[in-house]
Amino acid sequence: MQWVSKYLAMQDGLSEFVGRAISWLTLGMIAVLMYEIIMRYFLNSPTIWAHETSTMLYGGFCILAGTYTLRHKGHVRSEVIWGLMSERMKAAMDAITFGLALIVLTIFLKLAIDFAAESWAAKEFSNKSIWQPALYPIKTVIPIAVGLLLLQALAEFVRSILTALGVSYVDPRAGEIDEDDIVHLVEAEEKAVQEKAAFNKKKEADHG
Amino acid sequence: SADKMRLRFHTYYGTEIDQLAKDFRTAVKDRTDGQVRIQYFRGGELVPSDQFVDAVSNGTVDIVHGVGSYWSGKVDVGNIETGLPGAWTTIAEAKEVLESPEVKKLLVEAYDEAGALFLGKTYGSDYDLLTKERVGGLDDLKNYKIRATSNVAKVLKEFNIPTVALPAQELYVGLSTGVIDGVIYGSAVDYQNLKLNESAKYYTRLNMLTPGWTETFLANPDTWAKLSDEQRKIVEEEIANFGAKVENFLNEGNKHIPEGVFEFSTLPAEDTKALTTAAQVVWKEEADRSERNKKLIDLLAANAKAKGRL
Amino acid sequence: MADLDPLVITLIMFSSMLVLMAIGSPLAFALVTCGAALAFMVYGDGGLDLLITSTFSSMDNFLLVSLPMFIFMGLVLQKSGITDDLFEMIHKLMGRWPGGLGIGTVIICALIAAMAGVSGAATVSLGIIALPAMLKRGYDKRLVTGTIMAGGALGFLIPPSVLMIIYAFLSRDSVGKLFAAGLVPGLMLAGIYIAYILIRCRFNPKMGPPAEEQFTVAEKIGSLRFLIAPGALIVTVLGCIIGGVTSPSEASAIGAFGSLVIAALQKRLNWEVLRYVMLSTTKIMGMLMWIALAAVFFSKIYVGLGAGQIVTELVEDSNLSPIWVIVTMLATYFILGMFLDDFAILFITIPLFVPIVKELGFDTTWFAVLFVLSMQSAYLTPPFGYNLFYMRSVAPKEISIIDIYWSAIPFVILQIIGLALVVSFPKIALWLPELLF
Ligand code: NA
Ligand code: NA
Repeated sequence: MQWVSKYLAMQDGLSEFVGRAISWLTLGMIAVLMYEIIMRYFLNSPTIWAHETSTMLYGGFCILAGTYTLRHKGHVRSEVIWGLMSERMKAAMDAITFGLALIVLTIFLKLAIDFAAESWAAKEFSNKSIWQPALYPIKTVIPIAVGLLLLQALAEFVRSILTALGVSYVDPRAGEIDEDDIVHLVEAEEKAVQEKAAFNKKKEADHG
Repeated sequence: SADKMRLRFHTYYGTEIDQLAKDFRTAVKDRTDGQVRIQYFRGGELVPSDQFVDAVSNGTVDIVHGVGSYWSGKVDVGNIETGLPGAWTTIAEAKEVLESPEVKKLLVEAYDEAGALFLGKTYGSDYDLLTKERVGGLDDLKNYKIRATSNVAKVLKEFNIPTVALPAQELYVGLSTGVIDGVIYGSAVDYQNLKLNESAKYYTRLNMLTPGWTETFLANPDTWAKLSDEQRKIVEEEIANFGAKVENFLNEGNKHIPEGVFEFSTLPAEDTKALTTAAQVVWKEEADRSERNKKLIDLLAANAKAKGRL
Repeated sequence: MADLDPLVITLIMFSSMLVLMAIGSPLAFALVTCGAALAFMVYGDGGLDLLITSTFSSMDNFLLVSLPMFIFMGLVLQKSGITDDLFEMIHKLMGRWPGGLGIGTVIICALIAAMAGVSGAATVSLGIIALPAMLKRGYDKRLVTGTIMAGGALGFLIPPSVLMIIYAFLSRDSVGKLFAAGLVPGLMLAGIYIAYILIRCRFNPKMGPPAEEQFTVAEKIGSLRFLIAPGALIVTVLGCIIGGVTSPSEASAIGAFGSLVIAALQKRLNWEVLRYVMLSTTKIMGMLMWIALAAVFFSKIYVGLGAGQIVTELVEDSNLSPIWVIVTMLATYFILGMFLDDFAILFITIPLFVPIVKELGFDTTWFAVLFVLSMQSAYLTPPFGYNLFYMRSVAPKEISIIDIYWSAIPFVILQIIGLALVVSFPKIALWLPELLF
């Protein structure tokens, strides 16, 4: 089953790469809006493009982020009942969930490609402000984002179906602790050590 | 066919014309013996108003009631049929131009290309300036920040008047906190509905474009084909009836604004003339977008010349 | 298209979604799957196209640009050690009072709430910092656990608030007005929590014993310096929004930028922190966007099938007096809050409820505050409550899951009292926006 591990590692790597690349857009949005504020209030010459540019950065960033979220198990789920199940049972349920998701995402991909293609064909532009930017680039991001999520969902489906069937394979994601969890752990540990030291010092002082 | 038909009808209006919509639904239902039912959706309920053409051509909704400039990025005639600054000065004139066989043919053709059936038009109301301070002429506006949408914003830009794009729900807070000093959004009734008179009460008639916008009804061709001839006739008549009532609702309201809500004044005639002249930039830009637009603009220009405005 | 009774549609849509959620389907996938199935089978032509319309409208909104900005800002502040500093401050100032640290915790929660748009920031950071410190000093574990969870939930009520931004996006209310309306009820709720802690510790001093450490007046005054940075940030961001200096989205960018400046001044800005913040924002926004588009799609299908209209007609025909309609809606929120995510509740119910609220002649700004107050409880009610999860993930071992559930109950009751006050006296919410605008 070595090829499965290889495939999963590659797919996870792709989503990781996408997530890390687009995470820079957060700074991009801050920069665009700060530029607009400075131009308007300090130089009295507002831009005509900042609002729509930041909106497009937002839309593109968020929709593309879905694949990174899935790769890091970040899509909220209710664990009320699911959490009580055995590992294999959970995997079986996930197989159903992701199996259905694969169907829906495939339909979504088709719709998104048509949507973008129509926009290209009409050379569509936005009519919200006098800037009037082209809309087909941002509309093209949608099929890309849906396609990427579809690929990651396929990896999740493969994982769950193998686990449910009891096939043994090495999951490259196994034992991985998410970065935010690590940070919390480190913080909690540091805090505990500091508090312990302070507490001991205090005890010594009291007895001394 | 003997099957009951449910038509999804999507307007861009909010709750303000609910009573008229109810009458429209009842009329269609009664006149077709319950065979055609209108399912009515207000602005934003199913589809954002700027995606109406897509929605009606895909069949997501069956009939839409919207404004062409919302989708003008996709349908070339959108801005022109909605109304360019200087295009017309009364509802009668707007009707005369837009209902003429030549114009109608171009509109039908444009929407047909976009996959929608052009059913007809209805006409808006005044489109004027509301400000926090009294306005004597265009020169007074140089230091104001005015909220205006794309075509009007382009004309104001010719006079170095700064404009801001702001969604309608932010107008109230925007005016009361001073983010903007004035708006060009609609008529007195619209301003009163948004309670804008609480912080800005100077209403200046621009005489630049009246009615300030026109509305368009489009249908999904497949759904339309499924109706019998008799049913089509009824739905068409009732839509026209509904449109006329909406038009009346808008314009009657403006005649009955209580004393003291706004202080009315009129922009000097030479300023209105200057706006119309400056608007030629926008006319030209629209004409350059397609062959069809050029034909439409030529028809508009011929009318404006005949009326002595150009 | 098949003609189904709208009540049958309601039943099918919601029960199939609950089944998918029960088997652990991520919320976004559950919503999109159920919506697509019904669109395909019942809606007829163009139903599925609503998926793409919903997606683009969720992406194409300048108002929503403030979401990642406020989340970014909250994460930077969480990493910049502001919570540690503030806790040190209240420890010095109020540690000697019975229950003083608990009261101080509520105050810190309110301060963090005024800087961050989401509710996780305060619960997680205080769970790490304040919880062990208070436990060590002999505070009652259920009292402090509940305090941190309830205080953390204030993040959505005290502006800025991500939930209010999305509410405004759906209901077409002004964001500035909603923010102004949330401030007084938020402070009121914080006051209710403080009063509760005071009363409990008064009758049973063992629940919040005074600290033994003594500090000089100079030390106490000196500790107030920790208020400068957060104070400046709060005043700038809220001043810009409520004072109308900038749009909420621009103010959020100022906040995000300002939080980076504060972190840099505290010498806590480094590549590790920045990468953590950027990636966490990416992860959270990926979740929010996909829930948003899925929930918008789901609710459009529901509305498009005519079920929404039937709900409205049911309410109109029920002969309930208007205020009982509101109470029924709030009860619905309470029950949905036990099982669903707040954003899901928002997206599913607001398009249905707000037209009814308008029809009945109520102020939609007031209703927005009632909604957000209800969501405060949703964060604390088992089985599905974010702050319960956050607390479980950071709480020390001696706090069992049972403790966490029990600790929430008195605070849920306090929240209901606060909600009842705002229902009875709308001015609590409407006074400030009417004063400002
Ligand atoms: Na907040
Ligand atoms: Na809950």
